[in-house]
Amino acid sequence: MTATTEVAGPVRGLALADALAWEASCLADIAAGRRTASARLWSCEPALVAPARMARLPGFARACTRAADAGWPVHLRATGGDLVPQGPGIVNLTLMFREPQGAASTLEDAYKRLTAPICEALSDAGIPSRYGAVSGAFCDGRFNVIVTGRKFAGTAQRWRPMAGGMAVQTHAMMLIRTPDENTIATLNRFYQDCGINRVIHAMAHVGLQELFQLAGRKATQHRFLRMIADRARSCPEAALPCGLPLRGQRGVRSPAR
Amino acid sequence: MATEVKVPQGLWQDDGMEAVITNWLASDGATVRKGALIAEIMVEKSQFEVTAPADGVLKISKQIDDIVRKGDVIGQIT
Repeated sequence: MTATTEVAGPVRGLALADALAWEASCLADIAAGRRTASARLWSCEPALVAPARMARLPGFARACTRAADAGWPVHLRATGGDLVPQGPGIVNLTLMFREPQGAASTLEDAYKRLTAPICEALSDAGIPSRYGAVSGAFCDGRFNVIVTGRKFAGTAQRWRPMAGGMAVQTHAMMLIRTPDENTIATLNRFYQDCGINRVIHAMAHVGLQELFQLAGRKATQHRFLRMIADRARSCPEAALPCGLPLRGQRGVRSPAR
Repeated sequence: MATEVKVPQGLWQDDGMEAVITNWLASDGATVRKGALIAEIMVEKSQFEVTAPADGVLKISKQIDDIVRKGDVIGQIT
Protein backbone atom coordinates (compact mmCIF):
# COMPACT_ATOMS: atom_id res chain seq x y z
CA MET A 1 0.00 0.00 0.00
CA THR A 2 1.29 3.46 -0.84
CA ALA A 3 0.15 6.52 1.03
CA THR A 4 1.04 10.16 1.05
CA THR A 5 1.96 11.57 4.41
CA GLU A 6 -0.29 14.39 5.48
CA VAL A 7 2.38 16.16 7.49
CA ALA A 8 5.03 18.20 5.73
CA GLY A 9 7.40 20.97 6.74
CA PRO A 10 10.18 19.48 8.86
CA VAL A 11 8.72 15.98 8.50
CA ARG A 12 9.87 13.79 5.65
CA GLY A 13 7.78 11.03 4.15
CA LEU A 14 9.80 7.81 4.04
CA ALA A 15 9.17 4.21 3.20
CA LEU A 16 9.18 2.49 6.59
CA ALA A 17 11.80 -0.01 5.43
CA ASP A 18 14.08 2.88 4.45
CA ALA A 19 13.55 4.62 7.78
CA LEU A 20 14.43 1.46 9.71
CA ALA A 21 17.46 0.85 7.49
CA TRP A 22 18.60 4.46 8.06
CA GLU A 23 18.31 4.01 11.83
CA ALA A 24 20.39 0.82 11.69
CA SER A 25 23.01 2.42 9.45
CA CYS A 26 23.20 5.54 11.59
CA LEU A 27 23.63 3.55 14.80
CA ALA A 28 26.43 1.58 13.13
CA ASP A 29 28.09 4.85 12.06
CA ILE A 30 27.96 6.23 15.59
CA ALA A 31 29.27 2.96 17.08
CA ALA A 32 32.14 3.02 14.56
CA GLY A 33 32.97 6.64 15.38
CA ARG A 34 32.03 7.92 11.93
CA ARG A 35 29.52 10.40 13.39
CA THR A 36 28.56 11.53 16.87
CA ALA A 37 24.85 12.25 16.60
CA SER A 38 21.90 12.43 14.25
CA ALA A 39 18.20 13.25 14.31
CA ARG A 40 15.28 12.82 11.98
CA LEU A 41 11.58 13.63 12.04
CA TRP A 42 9.72 11.28 9.71
CA SER A 43 6.42 9.69 8.78
CA CYS A 44 5.64 6.64 6.67
CA GLU A 45 2.98 4.50 5.05
CA PRO A 46 0.47 2.47 7.12
CA ALA A 47 2.14 -0.55 8.69
CA LEU A 48 2.61 -2.41 11.93
CA VAL A 49 6.05 -2.48 13.55
CA ALA A 50 6.96 -5.22 15.99
CA PRO A 51 10.11 -5.76 18.06
CA ALA A 52 12.20 -8.56 16.58
CA ARG A 53 11.57 -10.89 19.54
CA MET A 54 7.85 -11.09 18.63
CA ALA A 55 8.79 -13.07 15.52
CA ARG A 56 9.41 -16.10 17.76
CA LEU A 57 5.74 -16.33 18.73
CA PRO A 58 3.99 -19.36 17.19
CA GLY A 59 1.16 -17.33 15.67
CA PHE A 60 3.36 -14.52 14.36
CA ALA A 61 3.50 -15.63 10.70
CA ARG A 62 -0.27 -16.02 10.50
CA ALA A 63 -0.80 -12.69 12.25
CA CYS A 64 1.52 -11.02 9.70
CA THR A 65 -0.34 -12.53 6.77
CA ARG A 66 -3.73 -11.42 8.09
CA ALA A 67 -2.46 -7.93 8.87
CA ALA A 68 -0.83 -7.54 5.43
CA ASP A 69 -4.03 -8.73 3.74
CA ALA A 70 -5.88 -6.00 5.64
CA GLY A 71 -3.45 -3.35 4.38
CA TRP A 72 -1.06 -3.38 7.35
CA PRO A 73 2.27 -4.97 6.32
CA VAL A 74 4.42 -5.92 9.31
CA HIS A 75 8.02 -4.79 9.83
CA LEU A 76 10.50 -5.71 12.57
CA ARG A 77 12.50 -3.11 14.46
CA ALA A 78 15.67 -3.14 16.55
CA THR A 79 14.46 -1.16 19.56
CA GLY A 80 12.59 -2.65 22.50
CA GLY A 81 8.91 -2.36 23.31
CA ASP A 82 5.84 -3.82 21.72
CA LEU A 83 3.64 -3.71 18.62
CA VAL A 84 2.87 -0.22 17.24
CA PRO A 85 1.01 1.12 14.22
CA GLN A 86 2.60 3.51 11.75
CA GLY A 87 0.99 5.70 9.12
CA PRO A 88 0.20 9.25 8.04
CA GLY A 89 -1.35 10.07 11.41
CA ILE A 90 1.94 9.47 13.22
CA VAL A 91 5.21 11.43 13.26
CA ASN A 92 8.41 9.78 14.51
CA LEU A 93 11.41 11.43 16.10
CA THR A 94 14.61 9.44 15.91
CA LEU A 95 17.48 10.85 17.95
CA MET A 96 20.86 9.14 18.05
CA PHE A 97 23.97 10.08 19.95
CA ARG A 98 27.12 8.81 21.57
CA GLU A 99 27.46 8.57 25.34
CA PRO A 100 31.12 8.69 26.33
CA GLN A 101 32.31 6.24 28.96
CA GLY A 102 32.02 7.75 32.42
CA ALA A 103 29.21 10.08 31.41
CA ALA A 104 26.99 8.24 33.93
CA SER A 105 24.12 8.43 31.49
CA THR A 106 21.29 5.97 31.90
CA LEU A 107 18.28 4.91 29.88
CA GLU A 108 16.20 7.25 32.04
CA ASP A 109 18.46 10.16 31.02
CA ALA A 110 18.20 9.15 27.37
CA TYR A 111 14.40 9.08 27.52
CA LYS A 112 14.39 12.57 29.02
CA ARG A 113 16.76 13.81 26.32
CA LEU A 114 14.53 12.31 23.62
CA THR A 115 11.28 13.65 24.97
CA ALA A 116 12.49 17.09 26.07
CA PRO A 117 11.81 18.69 22.64
CA ILE A 118 8.31 17.15 22.61
CA CYS A 119 7.43 18.22 26.16
CA GLU A 120 8.82 21.72 25.55
CA ALA A 121 6.80 22.12 22.36
CA LEU A 122 3.67 20.97 24.18
CA SER A 123 4.38 23.35 27.02
CA ASP A 124 4.88 26.25 24.60
CA ALA A 125 1.46 25.39 23.16
CA GLY A 126 -0.04 25.57 26.64
CA ILE A 127 -0.45 21.80 26.95
CA PRO A 128 0.94 20.25 30.16
CA SER A 129 2.45 16.78 29.79
CA ARG A 130 4.16 14.22 31.99
CA TYR A 131 5.73 10.75 31.80
CA GLY A 132 3.75 7.69 32.67
CA ALA A 133 2.15 4.40 31.73
CA VAL A 134 -1.42 4.36 30.39
CA SER A 135 -3.60 1.31 30.86
CA GLY A 136 -4.98 0.16 27.50
CA ALA A 137 -2.38 2.00 25.39
CA PHE A 138 -0.35 0.16 22.76
CA CYS A 139 3.35 -0.36 23.50
CA ASP A 140 2.85 1.00 26.99
CA GLY A 141 5.77 2.13 29.14
CA ARG A 142 6.81 4.43 31.96
CA PHE A 143 8.30 6.94 29.52
CA ASN A 144 5.24 7.60 27.41
CA VAL A 145 4.52 11.31 27.07
CA ILE A 146 0.98 11.58 28.37
CA VAL A 147 -1.50 14.45 28.18
CA THR A 148 -4.80 14.50 30.07
CA GLY A 149 -4.06 10.94 31.19
CA ARG A 150 -3.85 9.65 27.61
CA LYS A 151 -0.82 8.55 25.58
CA PHE A 152 0.46 11.17 23.14
CA ALA A 153 3.91 9.74 22.42
CA GLY A 154 5.56 6.36 22.92
CA THR A 155 9.29 5.80 23.27
CA ALA A 156 11.93 3.07 22.86
CA GLN A 157 15.71 2.72 22.69
CA ARG A 158 18.63 0.58 21.60
CA TRP A 159 22.12 0.76 23.17
CA ARG A 160 25.27 -0.58 21.53
CA PRO A 161 28.69 -0.74 23.21
CA MET A 162 31.43 1.08 21.30
CA ALA A 163 35.03 2.02 21.94
CA GLY A 164 34.97 4.58 24.73
CA GLY A 165 31.25 4.56 25.38
CA MET A 166 27.83 3.61 24.07
CA ALA A 167 25.99 4.38 20.84
CA VAL A 168 22.37 5.19 21.70
CA GLN A 169 19.35 5.06 19.40
CA THR A 170 16.20 6.66 20.80
CA HIS A 171 12.84 6.80 19.12
CA ALA A 172 9.55 8.53 19.88
CA MET A 173 6.31 8.16 17.94
CA MET A 174 3.89 11.04 18.29
CA LEU A 175 0.20 10.70 17.53
CA ILE A 176 -0.96 13.42 15.17
CA ARG A 177 -4.40 11.86 14.95
CA THR A 178 -6.00 9.87 17.76
CA PRO A 179 -5.94 6.25 16.48
CA ASP A 180 -9.25 5.23 14.90
CA GLU A 181 -11.16 2.06 15.71
CA ASN A 182 -9.83 0.30 12.59
CA THR A 183 -6.25 0.81 13.78
CA ILE A 184 -7.08 -0.40 17.27
CA ALA A 185 -8.98 -3.42 15.92
CA THR A 186 -5.95 -4.29 13.76
CA LEU A 187 -3.65 -4.24 16.80
CA ASN A 188 -6.04 -6.32 18.88
CA ARG A 189 -6.50 -8.87 16.09
CA PHE A 190 -2.72 -9.16 15.74
CA TYR A 191 -2.35 -9.85 19.48
CA GLN A 192 -5.14 -12.39 19.31
CA ASP A 193 -3.51 -14.16 16.34
CA CYS A 194 -0.21 -14.26 18.27
CA GLY A 195 -1.95 -15.74 21.33
CA ILE A 196 -1.26 -12.65 23.44
CA ASN A 197 -3.95 -11.73 25.96
CA ARG A 198 -3.86 -7.94 25.61
CA VAL A 199 -6.55 -5.45 24.65
CA ILE A 200 -5.83 -1.94 23.36
CA HIS A 201 -8.38 0.88 23.70
CA ALA A 202 -8.61 3.88 21.38
CA MET A 203 -9.48 6.25 24.22
CA ALA A 204 -6.17 5.51 25.95
CA HIS A 205 -4.53 7.68 23.25
CA VAL A 206 -4.77 11.29 22.18
CA GLY A 207 -3.56 12.90 18.96
CA LEU A 208 -2.16 16.36 18.42
CA GLN A 209 -5.14 17.39 16.31
CA GLU A 210 -7.51 16.54 19.13
CA LEU A 211 -5.31 18.40 21.60
CA PHE A 212 -5.21 21.45 19.37
CA GLN A 213 -8.78 20.95 18.10
CA LEU A 214 -7.38 22.12 14.84
CA ALA A 215 -8.91 19.95 12.18
CA GLY A 216 -7.81 21.57 8.94
CA ARG A 217 -5.49 24.06 10.61
CA LYS A 218 -2.26 22.38 9.64
CA ALA A 219 -0.18 25.53 10.02
CA THR A 220 -0.40 25.25 13.80
CA GLN A 221 0.52 21.59 13.60
CA HIS A 222 3.51 22.41 11.40
CA ARG A 223 4.70 25.10 13.82
CA PHE A 224 4.57 22.54 16.62
CA LEU A 225 6.60 20.01 14.62
CA ARG A 226 9.05 22.70 13.47
CA MET A 227 9.67 23.56 17.11
CA ILE A 228 10.47 19.92 17.88
CA ALA A 229 12.76 19.70 14.84
CA ASP A 230 14.63 22.85 15.84
CA ARG A 231 15.13 21.61 19.39
CA ALA A 232 16.17 18.12 18.29
CA ARG A 233 18.65 19.73 15.92
CA SER A 234 20.46 21.20 18.92
CA CYS A 235 21.84 17.68 19.42
CA PRO A 236 25.48 18.00 18.24
CA GLU A 237 25.95 17.27 14.55
CA ALA A 238 22.34 16.24 14.19
CA ALA A 239 21.00 16.46 10.67
CA LEU A 240 17.34 17.20 10.01
CA PRO A 241 15.69 16.23 7.81
CA CYS A 242 16.98 13.76 5.24
CA GLY A 243 14.35 12.84 2.68
CA LEU A 244 14.01 9.53 0.90
CA PRO A 245 11.29 8.58 -1.57
CA LEU A 246 8.08 7.22 -0.12
CA ARG A 247 7.00 3.86 -1.45
CA GLY A 248 4.71 1.09 -0.30
CA GLN A 249 5.85 -2.18 1.29
CA ARG A 250 4.15 -5.49 1.86
CA GLY A 251 5.09 -8.50 3.94
CA VAL A 252 7.50 -8.73 6.85
CA ARG A 253 10.64 -6.63 6.65
CA SER A 254 13.64 -6.77 8.94
CA PRO A 255 15.81 -3.74 9.61
CA ALA A 256 19.23 -3.92 8.01
CA ARG A 257 21.94 -4.63 10.56
CA MET B 1 40.43 -18.75 33.50
CA ALA B 2 36.75 -17.90 32.88
CA THR B 3 35.48 -14.41 32.09
CA GLU B 4 31.95 -13.66 33.24
CA VAL B 5 29.37 -12.25 30.83
CA LYS B 6 27.34 -9.83 32.93
CA VAL B 7 24.28 -7.64 32.59
CA PRO B 8 25.91 -4.20 32.42
CA GLN B 9 25.97 -2.06 35.55
CA GLY B 10 25.04 1.60 35.49
CA LEU B 11 22.86 1.63 32.37
CA TRP B 12 19.72 2.27 34.36
CA GLN B 13 19.14 3.86 37.76
CA ASP B 14 16.46 1.73 39.37
CA ASP B 15 18.21 -1.16 41.15
CA GLY B 16 14.95 -3.05 41.44
CA MET B 17 14.15 -2.91 37.74
CA GLU B 18 14.14 -6.29 36.00
CA ALA B 19 15.41 -6.98 32.50
CA VAL B 20 14.71 -9.93 30.25
CA ILE B 21 17.09 -11.78 27.95
CA THR B 22 15.46 -11.39 24.55
CA ASN B 23 18.05 -13.08 22.35
CA TRP B 24 21.26 -15.06 22.31
CA LEU B 25 23.14 -14.40 19.09
CA ALA B 26 25.84 -16.97 19.87
CA SER B 27 25.11 -20.59 20.79
CA ASP B 28 26.12 -22.40 23.94
CA GLY B 29 29.58 -23.83 23.25
CA ALA B 30 30.31 -21.47 20.37
CA THR B 31 33.69 -19.82 19.98
CA VAL B 32 33.29 -16.04 20.24
CA ARG B 33 35.63 -13.10 19.75
CA LYS B 34 35.98 -10.21 22.18
CA GLY B 35 33.60 -7.39 21.22
CA ALA B 36 31.23 -9.59 19.20
CA LEU B 37 27.51 -9.11 19.80
CA ILE B 38 26.37 -12.23 21.67
CA ALA B 39 23.11 -11.35 23.43
CA GLU B 40 20.36 -8.77 23.79
CA ILE B 41 18.50 -7.81 26.93
CA MET B 42 15.49 -5.55 27.23
CA VAL B 43 14.44 -3.31 30.07
CA GLU B 44 11.93 -0.46 30.04
CA LYS B 45 11.46 -0.77 26.26
CA SER B 46 15.22 -0.37 25.80
CA GLN B 47 17.21 -3.01 24.00
CA PHE B 48 20.82 -3.40 25.19
CA GLU B 49 23.42 -5.24 23.17
CA VAL B 50 25.75 -7.48 25.18
CA THR B 51 29.17 -8.07 23.67
CA ALA B 52 31.71 -10.77 24.46
CA PRO B 53 34.17 -9.52 27.10
CA ALA B 54 36.88 -11.94 25.91
CA ASP B 55 37.87 -14.43 23.23
CA GLY B 56 36.90 -18.02 23.96
CA VAL B 57 34.13 -20.58 24.25
CA LEU B 58 30.75 -19.33 25.47
CA LYS B 59 28.85 -21.14 28.22
CA ILE B 60 25.31 -19.78 28.57
CA SER B 61 23.83 -19.79 32.08
CA LYS B 62 20.64 -17.72 31.56
CA GLN B 63 18.19 -18.53 28.82
CA ILE B 64 15.96 -16.43 26.54
CA ASP B 65 13.04 -14.95 28.52
CA ASP B 66 14.89 -15.36 31.84
CA ILE B 67 14.58 -12.37 34.15
CA VAL B 68 17.87 -10.72 35.13
CA ARG B 69 19.06 -7.68 37.08
CA LYS B 70 22.00 -5.32 36.84
CA GLY B 71 25.27 -7.17 37.34
CA ASP B 72 23.81 -10.68 36.97
CA VAL B 73 26.07 -13.24 35.32
CA ILE B 74 24.38 -14.63 32.21
CA GLY B 75 27.27 -16.68 30.86
CA GLN B 76 30.98 -17.40 30.94
CA ILE B 77 33.73 -17.41 28.37
CA THR B 78 36.64 -19.83 28.85
